[in-house]
Amino acid sequence: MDEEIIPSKILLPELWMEIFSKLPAKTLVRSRCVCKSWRSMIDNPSFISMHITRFKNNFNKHFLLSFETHNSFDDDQFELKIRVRTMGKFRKREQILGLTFSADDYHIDYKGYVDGLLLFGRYYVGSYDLFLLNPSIRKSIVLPQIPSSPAGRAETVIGFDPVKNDYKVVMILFPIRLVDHTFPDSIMVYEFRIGEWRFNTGLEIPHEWFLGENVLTKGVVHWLSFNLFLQLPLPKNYTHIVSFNFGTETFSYTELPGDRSDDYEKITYPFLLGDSLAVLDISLDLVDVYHANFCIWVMTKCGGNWTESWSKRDHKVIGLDTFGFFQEYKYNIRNLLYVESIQKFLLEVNGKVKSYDLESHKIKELESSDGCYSMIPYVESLLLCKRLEEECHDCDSD
Amino acid sequence: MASSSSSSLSRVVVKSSDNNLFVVNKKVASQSQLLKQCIDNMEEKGTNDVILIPLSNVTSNILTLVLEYCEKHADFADDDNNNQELKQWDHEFLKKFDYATLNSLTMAADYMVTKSLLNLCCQFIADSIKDLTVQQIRQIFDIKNDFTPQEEADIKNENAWAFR
Repeated sequence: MDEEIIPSKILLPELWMEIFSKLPAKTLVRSRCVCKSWRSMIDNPSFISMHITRFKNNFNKHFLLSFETHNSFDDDQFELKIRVRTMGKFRKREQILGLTFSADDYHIDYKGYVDGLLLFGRYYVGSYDLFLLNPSIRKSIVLPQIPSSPAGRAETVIGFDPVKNDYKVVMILFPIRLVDHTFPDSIMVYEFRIGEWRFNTGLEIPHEWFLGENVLTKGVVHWLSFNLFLQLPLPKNYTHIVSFNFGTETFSYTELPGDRSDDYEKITYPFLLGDSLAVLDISLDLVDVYHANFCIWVMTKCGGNWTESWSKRDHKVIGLDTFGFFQEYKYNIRNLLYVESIQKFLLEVNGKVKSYDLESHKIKELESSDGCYSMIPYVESLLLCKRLEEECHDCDSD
Repeated sequence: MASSSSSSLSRVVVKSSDNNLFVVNKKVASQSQLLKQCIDNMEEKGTNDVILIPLSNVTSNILTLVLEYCEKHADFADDDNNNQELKQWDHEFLKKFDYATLNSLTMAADYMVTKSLLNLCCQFIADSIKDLTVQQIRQIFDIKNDFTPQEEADIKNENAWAFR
């Protein structure tokens, strides 16, 4: 044998990494104080990304995270409640974090999620900043002051750049065209490792039309929209997916599948199916007027015309009552999540969480909230474990 | 290499670090990628002799355990991985060992490239760490605390919630 192996009595560091990559964030945070070598193994960025990958690939480690925000006017407090629950078991839940903000932070706004990190915007009196929160290790960090406050509307997203192997927060500044002045199209990029904002100008920025809900997967974030050259008035149906690639920092357009002419109404929502972008398309059947079509398309290629970019995954005929639900709440349905283990969609309508069973087409109400509600498919991570100056304002758990 | 020549081994001899010999049939040995690689190499060369594979850092008591595992898993090689009986057996198998043995077994599984055993050992150790205090972890895995009391207190204070 040509390999010569030296016997050893203690477990090799690679093997400890293997073991650590199976442990939850809380145990790892505690294990940092076992000894110096454990601490440096756990704090090592390559271990942190190995841990994320392992957790993402293990369906048992997927949770549904939801948060509610409440303003309490009596004591000028503002509360963010975060809960996690096992995917598919909606009623069993556990609060992991309650954050209380003082009255100065009078409003916070959820912006995005990646690998266990939540991004929020925070509005003060007369100012605005962004902060990141990792609920599984109860750490938060306020990003450096945004270099220029957007003159018009801005869209803020967070994602992973596989090229630089780093996370980025990106603010897309939509162009405003006034009679005597045009603000340039640009994006502002914050890279975690560099820790500073920079501008990237000269991009063709999409119109801000309906850039609302987005779906992030494989380093690309997608929105329902229209093509770049569209002039007003807007058509009835969305026609394109506009995508931003965190690696190349470019936008691309993909035509949505099927006939999207204005002749008949389509109700379209983007969602994540496995790690692909999918859209749910619901429309009335033009031949059989007592039924509607329910179609799921999966994006196979980003950019280009629809015949080469989508594959049809599911097609069903549904009753008019189900169609009626989607039509009534067309603009109110948010956060469409597909939970594979129970073959159901979860969705939010005006602060209520409902489930939609793909087999029976029954729609059930699961939970309602009087605050602002959001839910995210979530895995724990150790991001922000190190190099963190700022602690959570106030953490308690029960 | 697709030609089915006469060279096909049915058994190999594995030698532990303390020079004990184990005769292992091919199907069992193939559970270890290291042994399988050796067998494949020899078969390609067309050797008909029984080959001897020395494992310079696996003692005979640990090798006995690895081979016991390989034997059991070779019996189930054609089943899918979700066999409940096998899972139960795996769990009972590891439960018997102290941490020193478990450590050695983990390293042997890593060295012999027996991925499923490695994964099983790591999961077993991870599961037991979950419920241990820092002090217990140090004791069980024989780890020296090289922090000063001040450093240790600082790390704990940084994340006091995790120690409650």
